[in-house]
Amino acid sequence: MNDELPDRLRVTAEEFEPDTGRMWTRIADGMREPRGAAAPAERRRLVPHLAMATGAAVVLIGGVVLFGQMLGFGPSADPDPAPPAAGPGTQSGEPSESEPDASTAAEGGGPSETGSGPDATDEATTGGDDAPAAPDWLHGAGEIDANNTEYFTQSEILFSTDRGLAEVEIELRLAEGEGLAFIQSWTTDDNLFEKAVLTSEDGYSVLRWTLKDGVVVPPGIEYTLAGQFDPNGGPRSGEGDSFTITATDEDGGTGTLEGGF
Amino acid sequence: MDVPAKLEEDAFRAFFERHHAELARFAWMLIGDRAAAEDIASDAMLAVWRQWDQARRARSQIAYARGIVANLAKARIRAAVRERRRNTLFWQRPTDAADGPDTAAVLDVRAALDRLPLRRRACVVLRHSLELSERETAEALGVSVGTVKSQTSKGLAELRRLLGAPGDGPARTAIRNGVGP
Repeated sequence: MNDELPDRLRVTAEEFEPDTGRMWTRIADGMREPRGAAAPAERRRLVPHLAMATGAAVVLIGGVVLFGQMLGFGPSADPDPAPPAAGPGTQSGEPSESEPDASTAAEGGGPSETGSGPDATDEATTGGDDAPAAPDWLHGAGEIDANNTEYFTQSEILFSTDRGLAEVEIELRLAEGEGLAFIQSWTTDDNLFEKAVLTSEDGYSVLRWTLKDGVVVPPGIEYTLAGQFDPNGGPRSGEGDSFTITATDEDGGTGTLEGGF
Repeated sequence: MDVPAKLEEDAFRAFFERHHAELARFAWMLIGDRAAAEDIASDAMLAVWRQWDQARRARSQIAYARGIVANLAKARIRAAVRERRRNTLFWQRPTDAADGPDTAAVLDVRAALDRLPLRRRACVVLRHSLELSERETAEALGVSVGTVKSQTSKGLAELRRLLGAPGDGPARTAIRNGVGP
Protein backbone atom coordinates (compact mmCIF):
# COMPACT_ATOMS: atom_id res chain seq x y z
CA MET A 1 0.00 0.00 0.00
CA ASN A 2 2.64 2.47 1.02
CA ASP A 3 4.73 1.84 -2.05
CA GLU A 4 1.85 2.93 -4.23
CA LEU A 5 1.86 6.47 -3.00
CA PRO A 6 4.55 7.87 -5.34
CA ASP A 7 2.68 6.30 -8.25
CA ARG A 8 -0.58 7.80 -7.13
CA LEU A 9 1.08 11.20 -6.88
CA ARG A 10 2.39 10.92 -10.40
CA VAL A 11 -0.82 9.63 -11.92
CA THR A 12 -2.90 12.27 -10.15
CA ALA A 13 -0.76 15.04 -11.60
CA GLU A 14 -0.97 13.57 -15.08
CA GLU A 15 -4.74 13.52 -14.91
CA PHE A 16 -4.70 17.27 -15.29
CA GLU A 17 -4.39 18.29 -18.91
CA PRO A 18 -4.00 22.06 -18.93
CA ASP A 19 -5.55 24.19 -21.66
CA THR A 20 -2.50 24.97 -23.78
CA GLY A 21 -4.24 27.59 -25.91
CA ARG A 22 -5.52 29.49 -22.93
CA MET A 23 -2.10 29.49 -21.32
CA TRP A 24 -0.32 30.70 -24.44
CA THR A 25 -2.87 33.48 -24.94
CA ARG A 26 -2.17 34.78 -21.46
CA ILE A 27 1.57 34.65 -22.09
CA ALA A 28 1.35 36.21 -25.55
CA ASP A 29 -0.62 39.12 -24.09
CA GLY A 30 2.18 39.70 -21.61
CA MET A 31 4.89 39.35 -24.25
CA ARG A 32 3.55 42.38 -26.09
CA GLU A 33 4.88 44.51 -23.26
CA PRO A 34 8.52 45.56 -23.48
CA ARG A 35 10.87 43.35 -21.55
CA GLY A 36 12.95 44.65 -18.69
CA ALA A 37 11.46 48.12 -18.90
CA ALA A 38 10.63 48.29 -15.26
CA ALA A 39 8.24 51.10 -14.53
CA PRO A 40 10.14 52.61 -11.60
CA ALA A 41 13.25 52.94 -13.73
CA GLU A 42 11.23 54.88 -16.25
CA ARG A 43 9.92 57.18 -13.60
CA ARG A 44 13.38 57.84 -12.31
CA ARG A 45 14.40 58.97 -15.75
CA LEU A 46 11.57 61.43 -15.99
CA VAL A 47 13.44 63.81 -13.71
CA PRO A 48 16.47 64.44 -15.94
CA HIS A 49 14.33 64.46 -19.06
CA LEU A 50 12.21 67.22 -17.70
CA ALA A 51 15.26 69.07 -16.51
CA MET A 52 16.89 69.07 -19.90
CA ALA A 53 13.75 70.38 -21.45
CA THR A 54 13.52 73.36 -19.18
CA GLY A 55 17.13 74.33 -18.76
CA ALA A 56 20.12 73.96 -16.52
CA ALA A 57 18.61 75.93 -13.67
CA VAL A 58 16.01 73.26 -13.18
CA VAL A 59 18.77 70.67 -13.13
CA LEU A 60 20.33 72.44 -10.19
CA ILE A 61 17.05 72.86 -8.36
CA GLY A 62 16.11 69.28 -9.07
CA GLY A 63 19.45 68.13 -7.79
CA VAL A 64 19.05 70.08 -4.59
CA VAL A 65 15.54 68.74 -4.08
CA LEU A 66 16.65 65.21 -4.81
CA PHE A 67 19.60 65.54 -2.51
CA GLY A 68 17.42 66.93 0.23
CA GLN A 69 15.04 64.06 -0.13
CA MET A 70 17.82 61.55 0.02
CA LEU A 71 18.82 63.05 3.36
CA GLY A 72 15.24 62.95 4.53
CA PHE A 73 14.68 66.73 4.41
CA GLY A 74 11.86 68.68 2.94
CA PRO A 75 8.41 67.77 1.78
CA SER A 76 8.00 64.70 -0.29
CA ALA A 77 7.62 66.54 -3.56
CA ASP A 78 8.00 63.22 -5.21
CA PRO A 79 7.39 63.30 -8.95
CA ASP A 80 6.51 59.62 -8.88
CA PRO A 81 3.12 58.85 -10.28
CA ALA A 82 1.12 56.07 -8.72
CA PRO A 83 2.82 52.72 -9.03
CA PRO A 84 1.66 50.65 -11.93
CA ALA A 85 -0.94 48.00 -11.42
CA ALA A 86 0.09 44.41 -11.66
CA GLY A 87 0.06 42.39 -14.79
CA PRO A 88 0.42 42.94 -18.47
CA GLY A 89 -0.90 45.97 -20.21
CA THR A 90 -0.12 48.48 -17.52
CA GLN A 91 2.85 50.18 -19.12
CA SER A 92 1.10 51.54 -22.13
CA GLY A 93 0.89 55.03 -20.68
CA GLU A 94 4.59 55.50 -20.29
CA PRO A 95 6.72 57.74 -22.44
CA SER A 96 7.64 55.36 -25.18
CA GLU A 97 10.45 57.47 -26.61
CA SER A 98 12.65 56.75 -23.63
CA GLU A 99 12.10 53.04 -23.56
CA PRO A 100 14.42 51.71 -26.25
CA ASP A 101 17.58 53.01 -24.61
CA ALA A 102 16.40 52.89 -21.02
CA SER A 103 18.37 49.89 -19.92
CA THR A 104 21.59 50.75 -21.69
CA ALA A 105 21.56 54.42 -20.80
CA ALA A 106 20.63 53.67 -17.22
CA GLU A 107 23.90 51.88 -16.71
CA GLY A 108 25.71 55.06 -17.58
CA GLY A 109 27.52 53.59 -20.54
CA GLY A 110 26.69 56.12 -23.21
CA PRO A 111 28.13 59.54 -23.95
CA SER A 112 24.79 60.70 -25.28
CA GLU A 113 22.82 63.33 -23.50
CA THR A 114 20.46 60.76 -22.07
CA GLY A 115 23.46 59.19 -20.43
CA SER A 116 23.75 62.17 -18.14
CA GLY A 117 20.45 61.39 -16.52
CA PRO A 118 21.49 58.56 -14.26
CA ASP A 119 24.79 60.26 -13.56
CA ALA A 120 22.98 63.28 -12.24
CA THR A 121 20.92 61.04 -10.02
CA ASP A 122 23.97 59.22 -8.80
CA GLU A 123 25.79 62.40 -7.95
CA ALA A 124 22.82 63.73 -6.10
CA THR A 125 22.78 60.52 -4.15
CA THR A 126 26.44 60.33 -3.38
CA GLY A 127 27.32 63.97 -3.10
CA GLY A 128 26.97 64.14 0.67
CA ASP A 129 29.65 65.30 3.05
CA ASP A 130 30.75 61.83 3.93
CA ALA A 131 30.18 60.13 0.63
CA PRO A 132 32.83 60.30 -2.10
CA ALA A 133 31.68 61.11 -5.61
CA ALA A 134 30.88 58.05 -7.65
CA PRO A 135 33.85 57.03 -9.79
CA ASP A 136 33.39 57.24 -13.52
CA TRP A 137 34.54 53.66 -13.98
CA LEU A 138 31.71 52.14 -11.99
CA HIS A 139 28.19 51.93 -13.40
CA GLY A 140 25.04 50.78 -11.73
CA ALA A 141 21.28 51.15 -11.88
CA GLY A 142 18.40 49.82 -9.87
CA GLU A 143 15.30 48.43 -11.50
CA ILE A 144 12.19 46.67 -10.39
CA ASP A 145 11.22 43.87 -12.72
CA ALA A 146 8.01 44.44 -14.66
CA ASN A 147 6.59 41.28 -13.11
CA ASN A 148 5.71 43.33 -10.03
CA THR A 149 2.53 42.21 -8.34
CA GLU A 150 0.82 42.05 -4.99
CA TYR A 151 2.62 38.81 -4.33
CA PHE A 152 5.91 38.97 -6.13
CA THR A 153 8.54 41.59 -6.74
CA GLN A 154 12.09 41.45 -8.00
CA SER A 155 14.60 44.22 -7.41
CA GLU A 156 17.57 44.17 -9.75
CA ILE A 157 20.91 45.91 -9.66
CA LEU A 158 22.50 46.27 -13.09
CA PHE A 159 26.21 46.66 -12.64
CA SER A 160 29.28 46.99 -14.81
CA THR A 161 32.82 48.28 -14.46
CA ASP A 162 35.44 49.76 -16.77
CA ARG A 163 38.26 48.32 -14.66
CA GLY A 164 38.97 44.86 -13.38
CA LEU A 165 37.75 44.62 -9.82
CA ALA A 166 39.62 42.68 -7.17
CA GLU A 167 36.96 43.29 -4.57
CA VAL A 168 33.36 44.34 -4.71
CA GLU A 169 30.46 44.38 -2.32
CA ILE A 170 27.00 44.98 -3.70
CA GLU A 171 24.28 45.82 -1.27
CA LEU A 172 20.54 45.90 -1.94
CA ARG A 173 18.41 47.60 0.72
CA LEU A 174 14.66 47.27 0.68
CA ALA A 175 12.34 48.96 3.16
CA GLU A 176 10.47 46.22 4.98
CA GLY A 177 7.36 48.30 5.61
CA GLU A 178 4.54 46.18 6.95
CA GLY A 179 6.15 42.97 5.85
CA LEU A 180 8.56 41.84 3.21
CA ALA A 181 9.35 38.18 2.81
CA PHE A 182 12.55 37.17 1.10
CA ILE A 183 12.12 34.50 -1.54
CA GLN A 184 15.47 34.06 -3.21
CA SER A 185 18.35 35.84 -4.89
CA TRP A 186 20.21 35.23 -8.11
CA THR A 187 22.97 36.70 -10.23
CA THR A 188 23.92 36.44 -13.85
CA ASP A 189 27.31 35.03 -12.87
CA ASP A 190 27.41 32.70 -9.92
CA ASN A 191 31.03 31.93 -10.75
CA LEU A 192 31.96 35.42 -9.59
CA PHE A 193 29.54 36.19 -6.81
CA GLU A 194 28.97 34.37 -3.57
CA LYS A 195 25.38 33.60 -2.71
CA ALA A 196 23.82 36.72 -1.26
CA VAL A 197 23.65 37.05 2.51
CA LEU A 198 20.37 38.35 3.87
CA THR A 199 20.14 40.46 7.01
CA SER A 200 17.51 42.68 8.53
CA GLU A 201 18.83 46.07 9.61
CA ASP A 202 16.82 48.96 11.00
CA GLY A 203 13.67 48.16 9.11
CA TYR A 204 15.44 47.19 5.90
CA SER A 205 15.99 43.80 4.38
CA VAL A 206 19.56 43.86 3.13
CA LEU A 207 21.07 41.50 0.58
CA ARG A 208 24.86 41.56 0.21
CA TRP A 209 26.84 39.95 -2.53
CA THR A 210 30.61 39.62 -2.36
CA LEU A 211 33.16 38.16 -4.72
CA LYS A 212 34.33 34.61 -4.48
CA ASP A 213 37.93 34.14 -3.39
CA GLY A 214 40.53 34.84 -6.01
CA VAL A 215 38.24 36.00 -8.77
CA VAL A 216 38.40 39.32 -10.59
CA VAL A 217 35.40 41.03 -12.14
CA PRO A 218 36.33 41.67 -15.77
CA PRO A 219 35.53 45.07 -17.27
CA GLY A 220 32.91 45.65 -19.88
CA ILE A 221 30.35 43.05 -18.86
CA GLU A 222 27.01 43.91 -17.39
CA TYR A 223 25.89 41.82 -14.45
CA THR A 224 22.52 41.59 -12.86
CA LEU A 225 22.10 40.81 -9.19
CA ALA A 226 18.54 40.36 -8.08
CA GLY A 227 16.48 39.71 -5.00
CA GLN A 228 12.97 38.31 -5.14
CA PHE A 229 10.49 39.09 -2.42
CA ASP A 230 6.89 38.67 -1.47
CA PRO A 231 6.06 42.35 -0.90
CA ASN A 232 3.02 41.61 1.28
CA GLY A 233 0.92 43.95 -0.79
CA GLY A 234 2.14 45.54 -3.93
CA PRO A 235 3.14 46.30 -6.57
CA ARG A 236 6.31 47.69 -5.07
CA SER A 237 7.12 51.31 -5.82
CA GLY A 238 10.82 51.17 -4.96
CA GLU A 239 10.56 54.33 -2.92
CA GLY A 240 12.96 54.07 -0.01
CA ASP A 241 14.86 51.21 -1.63
CA SER A 242 18.49 51.68 -2.56
CA PHE A 243 21.69 49.96 -3.57
CA THR A 244 25.36 50.51 -2.88
CA ILE A 245 28.30 49.17 -4.85
CA THR A 246 31.68 49.34 -3.15
CA ALA A 247 34.57 48.31 -5.35
CA THR A 248 38.34 48.04 -5.29
CA ASP A 249 40.15 47.82 -8.59
CA GLU A 250 43.25 45.76 -9.23
CA ASP A 251 45.52 48.72 -8.47
CA GLY A 252 43.91 49.30 -5.11
CA GLY A 253 41.73 52.23 -6.16
CA THR A 254 38.37 52.29 -4.46
CA GLY A 255 35.00 53.66 -5.38
CA THR A 256 31.45 53.68 -4.13
CA LEU A 257 28.32 54.06 -6.18
CA GLU A 258 24.89 54.49 -4.68
CA GLY A 259 21.51 54.70 -6.28
CA GLY A 260 17.82 54.09 -5.91
CA PHE A 261 14.98 52.35 -7.63
CA MET B 1 15.52 44.58 -26.96
CA ASP B 2 12.04 45.98 -27.44
CA VAL B 3 11.54 43.99 -30.58
CA PRO B 4 12.96 40.65 -29.58
CA ALA B 5 14.60 38.61 -32.25
CA LYS B 6 12.38 35.96 -33.71
CA LEU B 7 14.94 33.38 -32.71
CA GLU B 8 14.40 34.24 -29.10
CA GLU B 9 10.65 34.01 -29.47
CA ASP B 10 10.98 30.64 -31.15
CA ALA B 11 13.22 29.39 -28.38
CA PHE B 12 10.79 30.62 -25.77
CA ARG B 13 7.87 29.04 -27.58
CA ALA B 14 9.75 25.75 -27.57
CA PHE B 15 10.38 26.18 -23.87
CA PHE B 16 6.66 26.73 -23.39
CA GLU B 17 5.70 23.65 -25.38
CA ARG B 18 8.10 21.53 -23.44
CA HIS B 19 7.29 22.68 -19.93
CA HIS B 20 3.85 24.25 -19.71
CA ALA B 21 2.04 21.06 -18.75
CA GLU B 22 4.55 20.29 -16.03
CA LEU B 23 4.29 23.77 -14.55
CA ALA B 24 0.50 23.79 -14.67
CA ARG B 25 0.38 20.38 -13.00
CA PHE B 26 2.78 21.53 -10.32
CA ALA B 27 0.56 24.54 -9.63
CA TRP B 28 -2.59 22.42 -9.67
CA MET B 29 -1.18 19.90 -7.22
CA LEU B 30 -0.29 22.81 -4.92
CA ILE B 31 -3.57 24.72 -5.00
CA GLY B 32 -6.22 22.43 -6.50
CA ASP B 33 -7.79 24.98 -8.84
CA ARG B 34 -7.27 24.22 -12.50
CA ALA B 35 -7.87 27.64 -14.04
CA ALA B 36 -5.77 29.35 -11.39
CA ALA B 37 -3.06 26.76 -11.90
CA GLU B 38 -2.94 27.57 -15.60
CA ASP B 39 -2.73 31.27 -14.82
CA ILE B 40 0.07 30.78 -12.33
CA ALA B 41 2.05 28.60 -14.71
CA SER B 42 1.55 31.16 -17.49
CA ASP B 43 2.69 34.02 -15.28
CA ALA B 44 5.76 32.08 -14.25
CA MET B 45 6.61 31.49 -17.90
CA LEU B 46 6.12 35.15 -18.66
CA ALA B 47 8.55 36.00 -15.87
CA VAL B 48 11.08 33.73 -17.55
CA TRP B 49 10.50 35.49 -20.85
CA ARG B 50 11.03 38.90 -19.29
CA GLN B 51 14.58 37.94 -18.47
CA TRP B 52 15.20 35.36 -21.09
CA ASP B 53 18.85 36.36 -21.64
CA GLN B 54 19.71 36.58 -17.98
CA ALA B 55 17.94 33.38 -17.10
CA ARG B 56 19.81 31.59 -19.85
CA ARG B 57 23.12 32.69 -18.46
CA ALA B 58 22.42 32.37 -14.79
CA ARG B 59 20.54 29.20 -14.05
CA SER B 60 18.16 26.81 -15.61
CA GLN B 61 15.04 28.55 -16.81
CA ILE B 62 12.79 25.74 -15.77
CA ALA B 63 14.15 25.82 -12.21
CA TYR B 64 13.45 29.52 -12.15
CA ALA B 65 9.93 28.98 -13.46
CA ARG B 66 9.23 26.24 -10.92
CA GLY B 67 10.35 28.53 -8.14
CA ILE B 68 7.99 31.25 -9.31
CA VAL B 69 5.11 28.80 -9.51
CA ALA B 70 5.76 27.82 -5.90
CA ASN B 71 5.90 31.47 -4.85
CA LEU B 72 2.75 32.43 -6.71
CA ALA B 73 0.93 29.45 -5.26
CA LYS B 74 2.02 30.44 -1.79
CA ALA B 75 0.83 33.98 -2.33
CA ARG B 76 -2.50 32.77 -3.65
CA ILE B 77 -3.04 30.47 -0.69
CA ARG B 78 -2.19 33.29 1.70
CA ALA B 79 -4.67 35.57 -0.01
CA ALA B 80 -7.33 32.88 0.23
CA VAL B 81 -6.68 32.49 3.93
CA ARG B 82 -6.94 36.25 4.45
CA GLU B 83 -10.18 36.31 2.52
CA ARG B 84 -11.55 33.47 4.59
CA ARG B 85 -10.66 35.24 7.79
CA ARG B 86 -12.51 38.30 6.65
CA ASN B 87 -15.57 36.24 6.01
CA THR B 88 -16.62 34.73 9.30
CA LEU B 89 -19.40 32.72 7.75
CA PHE B 90 -16.92 30.69 5.79
CA TRP B 91 -14.42 30.77 8.58
CA GLN B 92 -16.75 28.81 10.84
CA ARG B 93 -16.87 25.79 8.56
CA PRO B 94 -13.98 26.27 6.19
CA THR B 95 -13.62 22.71 5.01
CA ASP B 96 -17.19 21.87 4.17
CA ALA B 97 -17.26 23.58 0.83
CA ALA B 98 -13.81 22.41 -0.15
CA ASP B 99 -14.23 18.77 0.67
CA GLY B 100 -17.85 18.26 -0.17
CA PRO B 101 -19.27 14.78 -0.45
CA ASP B 102 -16.08 13.26 -1.83
CA THR B 103 -14.56 12.75 1.58
CA ALA B 104 -17.28 10.29 2.42
CA ALA B 105 -15.71 7.93 -0.05
CA VAL B 106 -11.96 8.23 -0.39
CA LEU B 107 -9.95 11.33 0.13
CA ASP B 108 -7.98 11.75 -3.06
CA VAL B 109 -4.31 12.46 -3.17
CA ARG B 110 -4.82 16.00 -4.43
CA ALA B 111 -7.06 16.95 -1.55
CA ALA B 112 -4.80 15.27 0.98
CA LEU B 113 -1.92 17.44 -0.22
CA ASP B 114 -3.78 20.50 1.01
CA ARG B 115 -3.19 19.28 4.57
CA LEU B 116 0.56 19.54 4.19
CA PRO B 117 2.53 22.70 4.87
CA LEU B 118 3.29 24.31 1.54
CA ARG B 119 7.00 23.67 1.38
CA ARG B 120 6.47 20.03 2.25
CA ARG B 121 3.71 19.83 -0.32
CA ALA B 122 5.95 21.36 -2.98
CA CYS B 123 8.76 18.91 -2.19
CA VAL B 124 6.45 15.91 -2.42
CA VAL B 125 4.92 17.11 -5.69
CA LEU B 126 8.20 17.97 -7.38
CA ARG B 127 9.88 14.76 -6.27
CA HIS B 128 7.06 12.30 -6.88
CA SER B 129 4.41 13.87 -9.10
CA LEU B 130 6.94 15.42 -11.48
CA GLU B 131 9.66 12.90 -10.69
CA LEU B 132 12.41 15.48 -10.31
CA SER B 133 15.67 14.68 -8.60
CA GLU B 134 16.41 15.95 -5.11
CA ARG B 135 18.84 18.42 -6.60
CA GLU B 136 16.36 19.75 -9.13
CA THR B 137 13.77 20.11 -6.40
CA ALA B 138 16.22 21.95 -4.18
CA GLU B 139 17.15 24.31 -6.98
CA ALA B 140 13.55 25.08 -7.80
CA LEU B 141 12.57 25.85 -4.24
CA GLY B 142 15.80 27.57 -3.22
CA VAL B 143 16.41 25.16 -0.33
CA SER B 144 19.13 22.65 0.44
CA VAL B 145 19.09 19.05 -0.73
CA GLY B 146 18.92 18.03 2.92
CA THR B 147 15.75 20.04 3.35
CA VAL B 148 14.26 18.39 0.30
CA LYS B 149 15.03 14.95 1.71
CA SER B 150 13.56 15.61 5.13
CA GLN B 151 10.53 17.52 3.89
CA THR B 152 9.71 14.92 1.26
CA SER B 153 10.06 12.10 3.73
CA LYS B 154 7.84 13.81 6.28
CA GLY B 155 5.37 14.77 3.60
CA LEU B 156 5.01 11.21 2.34
CA ALA B 157 4.56 9.90 5.86
CA GLU B 158 1.93 12.51 6.54
CA LEU B 159 0.10 11.69 3.32
CA ARG B 160 0.09 8.01 4.16
CA ARG B 161 -1.40 8.78 7.52
CA LEU B 162 -4.00 11.09 5.99
CA LEU B 163 -4.97 8.73 3.22
CA GLY B 164 -4.96 5.88 5.68
CA ALA B 165 -5.72 2.27 5.17
CA PRO B 166 -9.14 1.21 3.87
CA GLY B 167 -11.65 1.25 6.66
CA ASP B 168 -9.52 3.59 8.71
CA GLY B 169 -12.45 5.64 9.86
CA PRO B 170 -10.83 7.94 12.38
CA ALA B 171 -8.28 9.15 9.88
CA ARG B 172 -10.90 10.19 7.37
CA THR B 173 -12.96 11.85 10.06
CA ALA B 174 -9.94 13.84 11.08
CA ILE B 175 -9.47 14.95 7.53
CA ARG B 176 -13.04 16.00 7.10
CA ASN B 177 -13.09 18.01 10.29
CA GLY B 178 -9.57 19.23 10.15
CA VAL B 179 -9.01 22.95 9.87
CA GLY B 180 -5.90 23.94 8.07
CA PRO B 181 -3.60 26.58 9.47
